Amino acid sequence: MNLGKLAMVVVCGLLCLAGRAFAQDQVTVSVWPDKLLYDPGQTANLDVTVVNPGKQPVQGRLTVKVLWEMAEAQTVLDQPFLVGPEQQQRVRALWKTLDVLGCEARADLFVGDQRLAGGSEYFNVCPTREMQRVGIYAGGGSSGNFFSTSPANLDALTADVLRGRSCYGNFYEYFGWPPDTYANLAPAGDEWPSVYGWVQKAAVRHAIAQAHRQGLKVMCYAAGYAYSLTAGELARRHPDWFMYGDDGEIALGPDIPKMDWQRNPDHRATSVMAGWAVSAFPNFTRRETVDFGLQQIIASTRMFGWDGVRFDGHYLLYPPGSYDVTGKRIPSGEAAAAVERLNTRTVRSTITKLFPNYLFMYNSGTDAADLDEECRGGGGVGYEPIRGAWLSTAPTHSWQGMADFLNREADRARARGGYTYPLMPCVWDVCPNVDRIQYPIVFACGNHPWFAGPTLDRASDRGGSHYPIQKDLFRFATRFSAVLWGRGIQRVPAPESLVAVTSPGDRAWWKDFVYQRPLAGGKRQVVVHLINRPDQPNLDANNQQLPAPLTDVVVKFQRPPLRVWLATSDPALTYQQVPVENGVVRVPELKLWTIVVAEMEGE
Amino acid sequence: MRLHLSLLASCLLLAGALAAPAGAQVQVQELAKGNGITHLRVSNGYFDVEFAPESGATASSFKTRYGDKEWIFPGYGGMFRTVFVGVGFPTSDLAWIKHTYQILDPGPEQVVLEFRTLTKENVTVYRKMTFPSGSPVVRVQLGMINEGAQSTVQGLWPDFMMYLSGVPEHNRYYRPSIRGVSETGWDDQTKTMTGTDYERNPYEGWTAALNTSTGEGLVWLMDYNWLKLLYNCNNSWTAEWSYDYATLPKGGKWETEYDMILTKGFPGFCHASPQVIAGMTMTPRGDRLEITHTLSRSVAGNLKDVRLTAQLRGVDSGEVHDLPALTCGDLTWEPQRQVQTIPVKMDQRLVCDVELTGLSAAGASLQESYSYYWPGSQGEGFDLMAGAGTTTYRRPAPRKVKEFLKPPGLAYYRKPEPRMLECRGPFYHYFRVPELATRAGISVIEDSYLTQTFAGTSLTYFPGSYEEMFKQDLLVLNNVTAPSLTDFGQDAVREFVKAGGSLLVLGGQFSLGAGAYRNSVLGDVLPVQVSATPFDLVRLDPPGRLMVAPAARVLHGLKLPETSACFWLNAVQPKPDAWVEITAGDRPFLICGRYGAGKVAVVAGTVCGEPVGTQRAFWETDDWPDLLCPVLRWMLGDTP
Repeated sequence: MNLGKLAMVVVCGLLCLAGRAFAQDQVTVSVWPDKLLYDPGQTANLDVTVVNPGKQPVQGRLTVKVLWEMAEAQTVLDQPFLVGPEQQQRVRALWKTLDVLGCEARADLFVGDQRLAGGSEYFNVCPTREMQRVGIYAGGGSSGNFFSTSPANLDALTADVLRGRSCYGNFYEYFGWPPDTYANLAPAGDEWPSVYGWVQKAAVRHAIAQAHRQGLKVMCYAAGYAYSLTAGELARRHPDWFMYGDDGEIALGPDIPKMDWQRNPDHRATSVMAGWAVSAFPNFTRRETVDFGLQQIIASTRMFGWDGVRFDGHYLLYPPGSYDVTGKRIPSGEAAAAVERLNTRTVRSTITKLFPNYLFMYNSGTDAADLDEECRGGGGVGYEPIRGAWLSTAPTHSWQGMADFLNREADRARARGGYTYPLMPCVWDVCPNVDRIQYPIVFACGNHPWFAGPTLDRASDRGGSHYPIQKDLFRFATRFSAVLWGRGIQRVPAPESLVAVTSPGDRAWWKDFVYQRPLAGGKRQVVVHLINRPDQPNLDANNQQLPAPLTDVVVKFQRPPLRVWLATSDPALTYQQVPVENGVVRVPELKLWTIVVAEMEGE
Repeated sequence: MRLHLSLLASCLLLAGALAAPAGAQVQVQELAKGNGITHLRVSNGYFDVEFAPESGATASSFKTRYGDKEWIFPGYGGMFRTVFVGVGFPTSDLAWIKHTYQILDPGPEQVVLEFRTLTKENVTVYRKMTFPSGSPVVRVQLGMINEGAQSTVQGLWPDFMMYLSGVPEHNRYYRPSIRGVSETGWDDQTKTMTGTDYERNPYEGWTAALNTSTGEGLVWLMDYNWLKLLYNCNNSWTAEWSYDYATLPKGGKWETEYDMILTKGFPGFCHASPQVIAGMTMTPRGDRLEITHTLSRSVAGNLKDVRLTAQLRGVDSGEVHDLPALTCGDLTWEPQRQVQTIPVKMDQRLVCDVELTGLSAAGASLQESYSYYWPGSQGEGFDLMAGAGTTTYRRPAPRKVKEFLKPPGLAYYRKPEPRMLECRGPFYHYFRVPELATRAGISVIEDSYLTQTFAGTSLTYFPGSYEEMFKQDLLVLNNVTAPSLTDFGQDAVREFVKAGGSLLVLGGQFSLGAGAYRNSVLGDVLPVQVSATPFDLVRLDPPGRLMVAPAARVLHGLKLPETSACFWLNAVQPKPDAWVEITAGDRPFLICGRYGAGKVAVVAGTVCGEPVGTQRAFWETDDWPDLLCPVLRWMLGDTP
């Protein structure tokens, strides 16, 4: 090695070391909205933190903007800013929120014309009664002593909410807390045994308050079945309020030792005696049974301040083929549908008279006979069986089958004003590569994630945690909730009339995921989801492979767009306006999911 | 009741005479799968089946002569799997654990395999399977042996998870029920598997599955006397059934047989027996109803000179229309179709009763009858409901017959310190039995509890032998079902009471009619006729005040100072030799009687309902101990 080369190596080494030191001393800027979800008109507190780890003061301008849609923005703070050496400084920007759905709060520190540092955070603005339009599930409580008031547990409840929020889940549904999902949702006393163990009222209230503090909604889990002694006693006092099998036995499912324990509960025996004492099905052809459940929900809402109710089976005529106490067949077919529609309508209208912004969510799928009523006013429609998509017999086991099904669900609900929530992925079976593929399909099909919330991770879950993938994708969905679920959005049944996509091997999957939505000013937006189609046609929970990234994906719009953006979350959230030539946009790389958003004239 | 041995013999004798495909001799092969795993493959011209002894001895592959498609779907698919009742699939270890195997007969007339395993319940479960050459029949002997030191109560549940013809579409299932044939499975309108999974009231010992597109089907014949329920998990494409629980004393054995028959060409099924397999459809054609009968032989052999006489009966109108007799000639495995039409009002519920006569292969005369229910042109397909709030068509299920070996010299004697076993159902504590029994002089009280799961009701404990039952003096069935005792348990109770033991039955939502006492061994023992309908829980409006009946013997002269009332009771009628002690309003409330040397009392009143205003529930007043204690003393005393 000659001296010249040696000198060059030394200089390069010194520069690298200096660079590292400079990086360590870099100023950081972060922004934190006080809530994840606001009602329009509320004031968002955007707390900006600037940290200067260096030895020199930094002086410049601090700007805070709120951005929404693809390019809408409002500056909410623009001021000179000085942060001393090795100091941290906070400033709060206020924004009177607008009804715009997904937002980004961005704080930047400029020195001269140079942007020294910046940071972003994401949230939604949506009226409460409509919040399921942007709904992302955060969690559902847990087992064991989840609702105890021990200091450690109260801290854990707070941490649980923060974890849910950190993953952009914006609503909870707390289950397992009440003495009974139908017969006792407003328990007297300060504590009671639930199916999971002892619950303390103050802990439930604490959890709800923590969620509200972060802007998360909390729904009460309720059902059209009953599982406790309370319900058993109801069946004893009113045998005519319940369903019977064709062998004349009441479908009560009693576990007598558990009923005895609930009659004389003993803390020491909780671990063995918790669980269902009965499993009874009220006869919802009777108005008294509907009213009874309804009054429980109302009383519970007054007691705890729930934002809504998530029914796990609502006031339907179930199980099919049942009888009333006299041996008369419970109606089926259209007669049953009429009763169910009336029940759903009655429950909603009665509750919303008292609580106008109340949320309703059902676990029924869109084949429900009362779907119109479920969706009316922005109801959520969950679909639980899709969690069996990993089974080879499931119609949703193939990726195409899953997309077809999810599109059908979303289309049906959307046409009625509702929102769909497939229960996926299976919470206890974590396959990151499956998550990386199925969540984009869920979103591209206009659905909302439900149930495998980030706070439901358990040590026993096979495969780890859904959290890291959920966090990235749910953040993206939060920022672009308007593009995914905005008002007036419709899936385009014949997308070739608007757009054509070419890709190597025709691997880009897009025809199932093209949408149009109206924009302000008479314009419209065409949204094309590009998904890199997996090589394996079916979901493989044991060995799911990710497709190799695609290059040279070309999107050609039949009419030239005004502007086009690409947005992706693979894994970092990025979006940018891209050039359009003769209606053609080039997507340099498609890893798994990229959204092409085109602004068009309004015709 | 099926005569298995004779039928097996006839089945095997005839197997060679059937229209077997060329080269259809049955063969068995052992297939090395690596890692010490060996599979067994049996092929006989009708099907080609592979068993995996290392995984529940399940059939992991199944193909038929009619197509080359694999019927067993990946994942959980499998045939001839067995699980324990109440544990279910996929939880049950029995579904997955390793079995040993033996090839008892390698062919060529038949192949006989036996699979065997010892479960963690200390029960050996075995399955002996016979594959005749050139036959669409597989015969399975299924059994269990209690290897433990204590008696145990277990039931077996065979499970078949497959796509018929290898495709998930068009799979329909047929279950004979008290309401006609209940169908479930593929729905052509929604293109999904839909319908009711459970059929808890089987009427005959068979079930069937059919691919309605290819016509390939499977019929299973099992012993009705041990059949508890039929089940098809529509989400998982299964055909399953549950046997009744069997009480196995130490070293005790239980065994049954079932047949699986591959069929082709049936449009549906309405009846199956060892002699015949039948399907029927009813289709309106203008002003006439077209009735199509499809028939084939079954496992007992070909049939000769078969004639069929049918009668159409209006369920509501009672009108009867005789149909012309049909001559079918010989019945083989090839289904034969007969069509007849009749002008009939079609917006009504109809039953077609069929009488089939002929000669068996051995020349013996044969007679068999079956029925098919049709809900009418306005009906809901095979949903047997004719409309909201109507009474459903139902036919009483034939009584099951089981025989149990009784130890010689079984005798009851009253113990110096009387003993009582109380089987407790929901709300049992309102009756305050332990308190009142103690007051009546009972020294030792044991208890047992009812549970109800998807598999039905059971008790946490019930005597597993006659000797164990005879250790008691009084058995109290406090709102528990008859099936929860098991058939053996009911027989033990009958013997116990016949020999001089006492039985007290208390009413409720799990008792008497609602507890399936009618048409049961337990029902024979009672002093009351249990209602013909299982819906016997009757609301008394106004509430029935308790009064001592004029015919009272035990409580004659008793004053009931409190004006207590009963709100709901199980409607019963006293049997001729019984007498009513207490009435509630004008209904029998407490009825006593004798069975053999024993005494039996039934309280038809329940603790259901709640008092309004000044009313008082009988179980909360002193009337209740005042009337029950003397009855308990009578039951344990020498007074007749």
